Amino acid sequence: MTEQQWDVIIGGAGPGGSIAAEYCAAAGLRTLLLEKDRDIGVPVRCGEGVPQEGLAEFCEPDPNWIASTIDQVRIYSPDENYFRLAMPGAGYILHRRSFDYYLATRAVKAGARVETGVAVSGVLQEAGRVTGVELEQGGRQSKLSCRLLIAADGVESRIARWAGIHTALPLKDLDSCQQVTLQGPDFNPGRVDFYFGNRIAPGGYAWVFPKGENSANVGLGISGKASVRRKAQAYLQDFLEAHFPEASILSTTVGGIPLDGSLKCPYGNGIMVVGDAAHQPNPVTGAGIINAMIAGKLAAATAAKALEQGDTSANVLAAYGKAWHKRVGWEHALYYKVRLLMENLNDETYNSVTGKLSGVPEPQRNLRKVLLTVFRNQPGFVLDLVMGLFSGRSKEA
Amino acid sequence: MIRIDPATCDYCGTCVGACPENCIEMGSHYIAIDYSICTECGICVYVCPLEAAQEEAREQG
Repeated sequence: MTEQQWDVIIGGAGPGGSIAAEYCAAAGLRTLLLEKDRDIGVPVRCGEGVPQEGLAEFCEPDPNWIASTIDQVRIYSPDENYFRLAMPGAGYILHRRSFDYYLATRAVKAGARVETGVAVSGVLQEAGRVTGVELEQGGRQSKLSCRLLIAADGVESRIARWAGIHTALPLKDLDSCQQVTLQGPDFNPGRVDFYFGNRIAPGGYAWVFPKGENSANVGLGISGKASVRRKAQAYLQDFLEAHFPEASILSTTVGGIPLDGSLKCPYGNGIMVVGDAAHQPNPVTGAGIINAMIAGKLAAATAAKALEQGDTSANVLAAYGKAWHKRVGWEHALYYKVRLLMENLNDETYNSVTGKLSGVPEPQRNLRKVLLTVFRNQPGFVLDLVMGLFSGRSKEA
Repeated sequence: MIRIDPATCDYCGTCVGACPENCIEMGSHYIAIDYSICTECGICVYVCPLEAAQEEAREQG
C-alpha cells in the first residue's frame, strides 16, 4: 500500500463496508476498503435471506448469487402446527460468498481500492479525533492516515470502541446462533420456514432457508440470557435430529446478532459505524444485510459532504445518525420493544395463535392479521407494548 | 480464569462484541484474552454459541 493520504478508510468488506466504499468512491473520495480475512465473503456467518424490495434499491438480482426466490413463508408453533403466508416476490436467499464478492467488485469499479488479509488493529487519534488506523498484515504492523474512518467490522467490532464509542452488547441484546448448510433432503425452494418455541429456540427462532431444491441453511438463534444455561449448538442438534436426521452437513457456522435496534450514536469525531458493528440488524428478525447496505450508503453521503466542508467532527457526522434514524432506526426502536415482549410469550400462546390463524382464509393472512391475532389472544401484550413505547419516549424526552 | 479453546473456537466474534472491557483480541484464526484487563465477568462464556470459552478454576495456593 502506498503511503498516500486516504480520504476514507473502511474497515470490513461485508455488504455495509463495500456499499460505503462504492458510494464514497463514486463521490470522488479516495477510498480504501480493508478486509481482515484473505477472502471476501468467507466465512459466511449469515442465514443469507434478503427482502426483494430492499435489494432492489441497490442492484438487480443476479443468478450468480441468488440461490432461491422466496414467495411463501411457513410459521411453525411449538406444537408443530403451522400457518402459511403467501408472499409473492418476498425475497431471496443469497449465496453470500458470491454476493459479497460482487459488492466488493462494484466498489473497485467505482474507484475504491480493496485490500484483503489486512486487519485494522488500532485507531490513531489526535486531540480526540480519528486520524488514521494501525494495521496488521501477515504479522507486520503499519499505520495509515485518513480523513475519515468508517467501521464496518461486524458484531466483533473493536474499531468503534478504540475510537471511544461504547458498543459492548449486554446479554439480553445479543442472540447467539448456529447454522448448518444441509444437503440431501427435499426442500421447497420457494419457501422459508420459521419455528418458534421455548424448547426450540428460547428468545429467538429456528429457520430453514432453502438454497435450491436439495440444500438449505438451517439454523437458530437464542437469546444471550438463554445461552447461559444451554448453547445454541445443543438446541440446533436437537432441531436437526427432530427434522433432518439423515441430512448431510456441508458447512457449520456460528455467530452473534446485535438486537438492540442500533447504536444511539453511530459516529464520533472522524468516524462513522455501519452494519452489525452499529447494531443495525432488525431486532425481531435479526436481518441485517440490507440495513448494513442502507447505512453504508447514508454514511458515504455524509462522508462526501463532511469532506467537502473540510469538517469531520461529530457535529457534522451526526447527519449520518439522523439519516439512519429517519430511514430505519425509528422503526427498530419499535421492533426492539416488540422483541422484549415476544420473549415473554409462552409456548401455549404461540400454539393458540397458530391454531387461530390456520382458520383464517389464506388470502387474508398477512403480518397485520398475525399481530392482531396475537393482540386479541394476549390483551396484556397490547398494554405492555403501549406502556413500553410510552416509557421509551418519556426516557428520551 | 477464562480460557478460549482455539480448537473449539470458530472465530465468530460474538464474545468480542459482548466483552464489556474490550479485552478479547481476534484475527481470522487467532483469539486471545488480555488478562491484564479481563474482569472474569463471564459474558464471553455465556454468549459463545459453542463451548469454546470456558471458566477454569484458579490454581490453589
